[in-house]
Amino acid sequence: MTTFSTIQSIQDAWDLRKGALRESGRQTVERRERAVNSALVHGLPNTRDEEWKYTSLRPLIDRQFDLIEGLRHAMAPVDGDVVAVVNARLAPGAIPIVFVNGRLDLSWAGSEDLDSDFFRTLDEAESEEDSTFWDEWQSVQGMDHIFAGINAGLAHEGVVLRLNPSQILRKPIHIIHLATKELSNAARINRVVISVPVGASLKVYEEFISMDDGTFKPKVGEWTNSLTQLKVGPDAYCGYFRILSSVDSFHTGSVTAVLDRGSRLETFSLAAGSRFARINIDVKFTAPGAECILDGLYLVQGDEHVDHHTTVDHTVGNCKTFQLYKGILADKGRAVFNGKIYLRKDAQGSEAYQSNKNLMLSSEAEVDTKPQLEIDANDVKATHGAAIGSINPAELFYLRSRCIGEAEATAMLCLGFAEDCVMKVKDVPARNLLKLRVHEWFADFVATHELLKKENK
Amino acid sequence: MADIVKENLTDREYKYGFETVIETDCFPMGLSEDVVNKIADKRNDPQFVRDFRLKAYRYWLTLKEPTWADVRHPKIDFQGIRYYSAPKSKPDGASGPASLADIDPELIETFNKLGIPLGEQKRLTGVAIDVVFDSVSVGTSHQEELAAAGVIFCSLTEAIHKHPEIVEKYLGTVVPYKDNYYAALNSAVFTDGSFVYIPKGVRCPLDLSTYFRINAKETGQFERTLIVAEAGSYVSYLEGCTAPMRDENQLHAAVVELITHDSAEIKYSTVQNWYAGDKEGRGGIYNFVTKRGLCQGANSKISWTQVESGSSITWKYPSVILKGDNSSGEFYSVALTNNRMQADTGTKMVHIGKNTSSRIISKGISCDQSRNTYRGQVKIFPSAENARNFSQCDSMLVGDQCTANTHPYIEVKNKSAIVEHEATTSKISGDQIFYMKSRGVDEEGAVSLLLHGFCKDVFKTLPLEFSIEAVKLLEMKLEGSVG
Repeated sequence: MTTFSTIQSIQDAWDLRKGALRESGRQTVERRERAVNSALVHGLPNTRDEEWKYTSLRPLIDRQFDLIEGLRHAMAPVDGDVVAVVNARLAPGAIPIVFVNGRLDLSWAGSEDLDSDFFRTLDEAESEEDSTFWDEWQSVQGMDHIFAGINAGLAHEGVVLRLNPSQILRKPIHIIHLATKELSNAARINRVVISVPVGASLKVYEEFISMDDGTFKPKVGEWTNSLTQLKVGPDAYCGYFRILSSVDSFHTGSVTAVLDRGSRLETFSLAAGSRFARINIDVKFTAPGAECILDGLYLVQGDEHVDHHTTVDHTVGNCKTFQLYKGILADKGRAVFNGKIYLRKDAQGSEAYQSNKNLMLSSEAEVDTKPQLEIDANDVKATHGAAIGSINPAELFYLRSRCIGEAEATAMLCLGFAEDCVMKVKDVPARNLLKLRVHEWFADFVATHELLKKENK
Repeated sequence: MADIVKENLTDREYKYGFETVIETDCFPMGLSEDVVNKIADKRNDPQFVRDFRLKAYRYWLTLKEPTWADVRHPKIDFQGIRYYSAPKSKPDGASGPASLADIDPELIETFNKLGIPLGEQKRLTGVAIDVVFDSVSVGTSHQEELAAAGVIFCSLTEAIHKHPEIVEKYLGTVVPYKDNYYAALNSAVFTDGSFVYIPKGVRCPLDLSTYFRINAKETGQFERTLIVAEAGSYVSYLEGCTAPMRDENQLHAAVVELITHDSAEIKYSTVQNWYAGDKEGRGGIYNFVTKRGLCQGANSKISWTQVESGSSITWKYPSVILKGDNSSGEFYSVALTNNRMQADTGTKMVHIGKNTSSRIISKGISCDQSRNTYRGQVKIFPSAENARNFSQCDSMLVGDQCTANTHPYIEVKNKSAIVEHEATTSKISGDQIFYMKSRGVDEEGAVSLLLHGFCKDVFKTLPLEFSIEAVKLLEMKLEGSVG
């Protein structure tokens, strides 16, 4: 049994996976085994676990995804529809890295810009047996999280981006994970490892999309389990912009980041479509003077469930964290936000600001938020806030008095609410990409909700 | 600067740390069904109370000690505690003293030391007091005046015998014995506590007050307070607590239940100053208390105010269930921790009725190696149309060894709700001190002023008598000798 259901099934999947890894060398097998073991040591989480209080794994387990099925088949050739969908999504000027159903497709137009100087596949990088490089990733905070562990152990394919010192990559890298309706019971498990060393600069967009746009009945929903690891060296910059827009899919994503002296990490997590999503983002400061921007936006409708868990660990002094997460909830949507910021004893002189704001459009929706500050140092500035509310009737009235329909007016107000946080993204191309995705979601939202109104009449 | 502040906060000894030598009637250590039955025998419990105890005890046996709170302590040996201890005032020792004259003079002396006006001659203070010494209520003052208004204010034991119908109706309705580990334990072994019943439309003429004192060694105190406010009534209830200084930890697991009917209001204030242990964290009270109010009727209100300055571990969440439409709940708290104290405290506001509102103001001050955690939950049910909540949690850190955590849980299931939470962390900055010094305020005064300013929102909600006590208490902890 290698369907995701119990600890044993994950263990079984690993035992099978191990065989295929022999070529990559003994160290790879051992390392991956450690990852699986450390993640499984606490068992499969349930809602009695504080970290999983509001998110039950039941829907994921019920779908009976197979953990290694995806590797059993040779990669299917991509058809014209797939090419069109991906190309339509690609950000202009970006270097594409495309995963189709969990398999890396390097034949994509534009992928030739992936210089072997900084790019390798996970297989290549692992067989190089650069153990110090890999051990660093192993011990990173957030890796004991169950889905990070499953990924680190079972990852089917992946990429390693390792810039050279002071290398500035002008073109952004656009990683697209596409799920089609083939192999719908196979889990897609991909890992992305990014190392931006001293003085280097890199921007990455990572996007999860699915071909199953809800028009296929019955809706199946694929599962993508991703692990993205970022290491930002001294005085380096990394921009990491994450977009989840795969309607009806299951998604478990883990992001870990380690920040060195004077580095900057800018992240944005946009969740605009997923039946079930759990996203863990763990950031750790290891040297003073670093800064982290950790923003996000979740747009939840239908019966979607989106859960963000973020952790920022200030273990050293004089670092800064700015976090703003916003969310819009419609229909029976449910969102969970848990943001932890630790300011440890040695984190004197640090600053941390966290805010979570939610707009509820329906009484059937639910939001569970838990901003959390843990402070062991006295010379710090730390605040957090959370707010939940609905559309201000006065604002709605103002727009309606100008002949704007209720759904559109609501969408306009929501859009204003949502854009506020997208506009904070300093990198213009990234901001434009995020804005575009938000607008696409809203266009769809307005259309479906207008439609519902007409049907009711 | 930090050193001075720290000195201010730590170098005051615990004033209430004396022990009174009084003959007590104690049970041997340990807990069993037999002990529960013996407590029931001793207190001459009617059948419904005995059944309640036994059900609770059997349920408690099935439970595991909870571990989710952010507190660290060695495992509590529940068999190493005496579950009953009472001052011997009468040869039979079975029920409470008949009148104040029956009370051991030694005991009266104790309360005089504590500054509790137990004697009737202190009528002018205008507060009716029930005193719970170890596990038993030893005297309630101002009975006639309260009786004239129809208010029942007595020990729970007395209430169980004199007004069994009211007790049976409400006991365990707000905090059922299945609620949690310590509530189950309390339900099994509770010995006494206060009982208040305010009839319809009555505004209680006096502030009611209970003073809790743990005296005997190796005992736990398990009191239970029940306050019922009928439609349109009002009561302000105050609670204070102290304990002797000892090297061992003592357990205090109380349950407080409040019920308000239509348009009734209960204002419940606590100044908690149990012995907090010494500088190295030896001794002190484990204060694991379940306090909950139920706004049963429409337009009712429950307000909790607490000043937590004692106990080696405080673990409590005075909560309000806002069931009646338009009902409101308030929670004001100042929690001061120093030395190695740990406090995990906050509130729960459960909005069920329409147009319900709640307000949470929590101020945490942590010094030395203490841990101060705010943990609060705001829950809006789908039925709670137009619910409103505002929470503010501020922490102040004094010294670089302490910890301040904030864990707000916000769960909203209705779109018309407006919920806000904000939290800040600060320290007393050199700039602020400098500013005040430049205006002629000395350093000690400046620190004191800043702390008072920080806690003002909470202190102003306390009744006058308690407000003075609370300010004194903080001053006692804060204003040491400044070099």
